[in-house]
Amino acid sequence: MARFTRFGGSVLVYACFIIFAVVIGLPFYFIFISSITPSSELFNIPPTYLPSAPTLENYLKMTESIPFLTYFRNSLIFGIGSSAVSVIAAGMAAYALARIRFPGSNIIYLALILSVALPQIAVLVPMYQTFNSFKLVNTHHGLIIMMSSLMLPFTIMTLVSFINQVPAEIEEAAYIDGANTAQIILRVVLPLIRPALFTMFLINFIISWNELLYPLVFAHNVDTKTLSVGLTELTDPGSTYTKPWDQMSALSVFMIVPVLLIILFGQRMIISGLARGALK
Amino acid sequence: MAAQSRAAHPPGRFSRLTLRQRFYIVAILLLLPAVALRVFTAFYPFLQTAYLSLHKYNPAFDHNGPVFVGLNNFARIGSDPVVQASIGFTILFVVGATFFQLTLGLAVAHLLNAAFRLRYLARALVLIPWAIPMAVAALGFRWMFDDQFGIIPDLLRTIFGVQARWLIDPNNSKLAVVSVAVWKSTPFVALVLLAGLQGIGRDLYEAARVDGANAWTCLFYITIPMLMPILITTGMFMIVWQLAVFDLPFLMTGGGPGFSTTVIAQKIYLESNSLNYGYAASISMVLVGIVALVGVVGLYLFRRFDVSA
Amino acid sequence: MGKDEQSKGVKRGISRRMFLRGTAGSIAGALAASGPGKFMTQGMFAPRLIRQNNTVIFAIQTFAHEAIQSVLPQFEADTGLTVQLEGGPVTGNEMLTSYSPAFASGTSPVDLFSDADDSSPTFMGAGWVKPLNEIIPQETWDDFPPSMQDHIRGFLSIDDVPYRIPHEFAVGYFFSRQDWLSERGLTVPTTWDELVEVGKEVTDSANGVWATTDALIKPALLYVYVAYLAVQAGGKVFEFDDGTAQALQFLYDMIHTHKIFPEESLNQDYTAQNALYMSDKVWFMRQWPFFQGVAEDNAEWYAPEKLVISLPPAGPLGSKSWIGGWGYSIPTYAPNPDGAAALIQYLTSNAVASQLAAQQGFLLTPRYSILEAMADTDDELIAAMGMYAENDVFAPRAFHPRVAEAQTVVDDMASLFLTKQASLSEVLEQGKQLIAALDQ
Repeated sequence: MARFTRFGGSVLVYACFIIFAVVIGLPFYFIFISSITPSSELFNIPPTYLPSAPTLENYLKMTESIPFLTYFRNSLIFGIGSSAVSVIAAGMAAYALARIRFPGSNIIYLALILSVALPQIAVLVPMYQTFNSFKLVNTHHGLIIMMSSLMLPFTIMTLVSFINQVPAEIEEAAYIDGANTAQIILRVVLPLIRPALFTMFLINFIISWNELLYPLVFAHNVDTKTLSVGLTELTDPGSTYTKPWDQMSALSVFMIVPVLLIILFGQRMIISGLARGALK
Repeated sequence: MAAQSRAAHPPGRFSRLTLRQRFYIVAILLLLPAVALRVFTAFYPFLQTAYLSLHKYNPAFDHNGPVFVGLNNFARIGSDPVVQASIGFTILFVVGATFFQLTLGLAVAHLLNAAFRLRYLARALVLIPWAIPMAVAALGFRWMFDDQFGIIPDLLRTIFGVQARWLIDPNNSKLAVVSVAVWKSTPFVALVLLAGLQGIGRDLYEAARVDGANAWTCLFYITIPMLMPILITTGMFMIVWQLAVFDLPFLMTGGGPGFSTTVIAQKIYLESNSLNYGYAASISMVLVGIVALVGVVGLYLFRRFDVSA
Repeated sequence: MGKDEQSKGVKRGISRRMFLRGTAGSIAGALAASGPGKFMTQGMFAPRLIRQNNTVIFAIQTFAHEAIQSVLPQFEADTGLTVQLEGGPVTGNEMLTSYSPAFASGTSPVDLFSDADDSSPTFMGAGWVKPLNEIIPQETWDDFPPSMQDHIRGFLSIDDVPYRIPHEFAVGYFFSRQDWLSERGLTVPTTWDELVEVGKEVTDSANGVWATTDALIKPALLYVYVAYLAVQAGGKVFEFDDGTAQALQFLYDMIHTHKIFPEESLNQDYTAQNALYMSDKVWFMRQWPFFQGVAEDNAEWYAPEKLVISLPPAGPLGSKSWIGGWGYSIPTYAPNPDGAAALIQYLTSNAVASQLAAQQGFLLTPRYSILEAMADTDDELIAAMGMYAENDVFAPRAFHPRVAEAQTVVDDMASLFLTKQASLSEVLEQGKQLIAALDQ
C-alpha cells in the first residue's frame, strides 16, 4: 500500500514535471530555433516547428552588429558587482534589522522597503545630475552603485524573513561562549543563511544581467555598455525600421547560457548550505 | 511593540545596558552601507520628483524653468482619458499576475523540492523564463501569439480546437499579456519560496504525519503558515514592482489594441520621454502613494503572521 | 524659387532632375499651416568640458560604422582629431530615453549623433542640439533639391534655422506583385477605389492571401500608415480633420468591410509585414525603401517582377507619400564642439556624402552630388525616387511642436477605432481634445 502511494506520488510528480517543462521550455525552444534559422525562413503560415536548415549565420550577424565580447565582459562586471554589493549590504542591514532592537529601527526598515516605490523612469533626470556631478556616469562602479541600490529593498525584505526563521538560540549560545558580533555573524549566522544569500545573489545577478534602463541611460560608451543595451542596438543591415528577431534571439541565447551555468554550478553550494542547516 | 513582535526571540535578550550601546553602534555600522546607497540613489531623487510634481516643467517649452502650479498636475491626472483608460488593466495586470505568480510559484517550489530524479534539471530549467531579457520575451511572445505566424494560436487550434484571436482582441490581449507576465516571473517567486520551504524543519511534517495528516492538511496547516512572511514579502514586492513595469505590454502590444493593455507606468514613460517632467513626476507620486499603501498593508500583515509563525 | 529655375536650366540626368519638379508649392502650403515651435537660447548655459585629447565621439547605428570608417583616415589626417565611433539606439523612443537625462543635466555623452524623426523635434525644442546654419556651409545646403530643402525647413528646423541635416531618406513606396497582376491580366490600382475593386478580386482569405497589408502596431507604426493615407486624402493628421476621417474610414473599410487587409496587421511590425509579402500572401503594399534590400537578400524568393514600385493609389487629393529619415545633429553640450563641427562638415560635404551613399543605403539621401555619383548605377530605388518626384508624390512629414505626443494620440485613436472599441466620430472628437490638451 505504501509502495503504491509512493509510486502514484512519483507518477504525479513526473506528470507535473512534464507539464512544467513544456510550459517553461516551449517559448525557449521557439527562441532557440529562431536563433538557428535563417531569417528568410523563420516565419511561415502555418508556423513550422523544426528548423529547415540550421545555421549559425544569425550568431555571426549578431557579433558583427555589436561588440559582443566587450559588452559581455561589461555585463559580467555589472551583474556580479551589483549582485555582490546588494547581497552584502542587504545581508548586513537585514541582520541588524532582524536581530538588534534599537530606536528607529522600524522607521528605517519601512523607509528602506518603501523606497522601492519610485518608478525608475521618474527619477532618471535628478539621478543623472547627481551621478554626473560625482563623475559616475559611464563608469562600472557608478552603474553598480545604482543597480545594487535598486535591488536592496527586496533583498533586505527577503533576508529579514529568512533570518527570522533561524532560531536565535544558536547565536545566544555563542554570545554566552564569549564570541563577539563579528564572529557570530561570520561563523554562526552566515553559514545558516547561506542558501538564502546565494539565492538572492542569483536572483539579483539575473535582474542586473537583464537590466536595460540604467545602462541605456548611464552607459554611453563601449567600455560600459551591457548586452541588454546591445539588444537595443541590433539592427538589420541598413535598416532602423525592424527589430531583427533573428539576431535578438541569438543574443538572448548567449545571455541565458551563463545564467544556466551559474545555477548548475551553484546548486552544489545550495545543497551543502542546506546540509549544514539540517544539522542544527 | 512592533519591534518586539518582529524579533522571533524573547525580548530582553540584549537588555544588559553595557551591551546595548555596543549593539546600537553595531546596528548603525551594519545599516550604514544600505542606507547610504538608498539615500544617494532614491531619497534625493525622490525629493526632486516631489518638487517637480507641483510644477509645470517641460524643458522644450518652459525655458524659464519649472513653474509652480500647485496641485494642477494631479487634477489633470483625474481627467486624463489615457490614465482613466489604463487604470482597469493596470489593476488586472498587477493583481492578477501577482496572484498567479504566488499560487503557481508555490506549486513549482514544491515540484523543485520534491525528491525525484530530475529535480536538478527542473531547478535549472525553472530559471529560463526569468533569465530571458524582457525585451526578448515580449517580442518573442508577440511572434508566438501572432494569429498568422504564431505557434500558440496554431497549437491551441490543432490540439484543443480553440479558435481565438489573441493580440488584436481587446480582451484576449489582456489575457495574453498577463500570462506572459506570469510565465516570466513565476520562477523568481518559486525560487524564493523554495528557499523558504527548505527552511521549514522536516520534523514538523513528520510529527503531522504521525498524527494522520494528509498532504493538503500539511500544506494548509504547516507550509502556508510557515511561509506566510515570505509569501507576503514576495507578494508585496511583486505588486510594487509590477506597478512600475511597462516594458512587457509596451513591447508586446504597444499597449493596444486601443488602450486595452496600457498600464499607467507606460504613461509615465511616454510623458518623461516627451520631457513633460512635471506631469510625469505627479503620476509617479500617485504611484508612490499607492505603493506606500500596499507597503503599509503588507507590513501590517507581515508583522501579524510573523508572530504567529 | 530662383534656385529652382536656375537648377532647371542645368541639364542633368533623369535621376538628378527628379527633385527639381515643384513639390515646393504644395509643401509650402502644408507647412504654413503647421507653425514650427519657438526656440529660445537664453538661459541655456553650456558647461563646456575641457577635453585633454582631441577625440570626437560620434554615435550612429553600428551597421553604418564600416562605411564611416572608410572615410575617416582622411579626416583624421587633415585635422589631427581622432574619431571614436559608438553605436546608438535604433528607435526614437529609445533615443529619447537614452539621451534626455544627460542633455537635461547639461552634458552630452557624444559630440555628434544620428537622430530620428520621432526624437529630434523634442531635442530641438529643448535647445539640446545646435543650430547648423552657421556650421554647415551654404554649398552643402544648396546640394539638396527643393523638395528636400522644404523637408529640412519643415521638419528639421525651427524658424528656418536647421538643427539636423538628413543623411537618410525614407518614403513609403508602393510595391506590387507585377508577376501575379500580369498573369491575371490586371493592372496596379491607381486610386483608392481601384485598390478596393482589384483588392476584392484578388483576396483569397481561405488561403490567407490578401490584397494589401501594412504594419499597424503601436507605437509609431500605425501612425505611419494613417498619416500616409491622410496625406492622400488631403488631411492634416494632427487636426483630425475631414481628410483624416476619410483616411481612417478607408482603412477601416479595407479591414472590416471589404476584408482585403488582414486584421492581424493591427499587432504586426515591419518584419511580419515583409514576411507576409515574401510568403506570397500579399499582392501590393506600402513599405519603406529598406524592403528592396530585404527582398533582394532573400535570394531564393526574389525576382524583379515580384517587387515593382509604382505610384501610391491616389486618394481624394492625389497620389501622395510623406518623406522622412535620419540625420546628423550636434548636441548643444557636446564636449568637443569644434571637433563635432569639423566632422559634420566633412561627412556632409558633397564629395564625402557621395562616397558614403555608395556604400550604405542608410547614408543615401537625395542630393545632387550623390545622385550624380550614382547616376550610372542601375538602382531600382534611385529610379523610383525619380518617378515619384516627377509625379509630385512627395509630401512633407506632418509637424507638430510635440510631434512624439501628437503621434501617440493618432496611434491611440486609430487603434480604438480600427479594433471597434470606439466610433469614428468619438475618436475624432477625443483626438481633437487630446491634441488641444498638448498645447497647454
